[in-house]
Amino acid sequence: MGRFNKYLGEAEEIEIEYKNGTKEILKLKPLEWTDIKNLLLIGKDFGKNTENPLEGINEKTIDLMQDMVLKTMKLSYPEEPEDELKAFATKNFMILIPIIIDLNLNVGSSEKLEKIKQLQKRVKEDARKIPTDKTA
Amino acid sequence: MLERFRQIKQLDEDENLIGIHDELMRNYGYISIYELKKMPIPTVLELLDQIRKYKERLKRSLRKR
Repeated sequence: MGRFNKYLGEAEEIEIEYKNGTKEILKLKPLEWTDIKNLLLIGKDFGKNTENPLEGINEKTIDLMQDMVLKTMKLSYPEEPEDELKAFATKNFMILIPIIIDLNLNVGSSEKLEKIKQLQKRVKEDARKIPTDKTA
Repeated sequence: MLERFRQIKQLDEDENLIGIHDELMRNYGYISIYELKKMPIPTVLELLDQIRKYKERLKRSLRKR
């Protein structure tokens, strides 16, 4: 098990309001670093038009967005059946994609900053425990 | 959110996977490439951000001397 493993996979509770008005809290996990390229590809199209960020997005990007929604759902709920997750991701794609982008890229909130500070502290503490050549 | 995309795009132009791997290892010790690939995006971004802030502080303190 890697050194950073214990810090990974912390899900964030997000309240989602569906089109029919019902609300639910989902615990969503961030995507893995290998998906940064997909986020960048989405970013190239997403947000060209600041008033309507979804305008001008091509089919390929939409497929990519759907993939990322499904991947997030699989990471967050690995025990759930895949076909159910796929159907859920497709149905609620438009609700989930801004939340997923925000979950992976936005770090503005004070709560998140506090989490980062804690992580930094824990990393520093771990680094002190690693024996150096001098002590060996 | 759009601002964050701009920052990420900048990151993509400036750094590649190996560059990021090298930067993290310089600061936190050995990390396997597999481990890096599996790390959540916000964790990697924040670690890189912390390294950048540390470098800026170091530069400022060196300038003062």
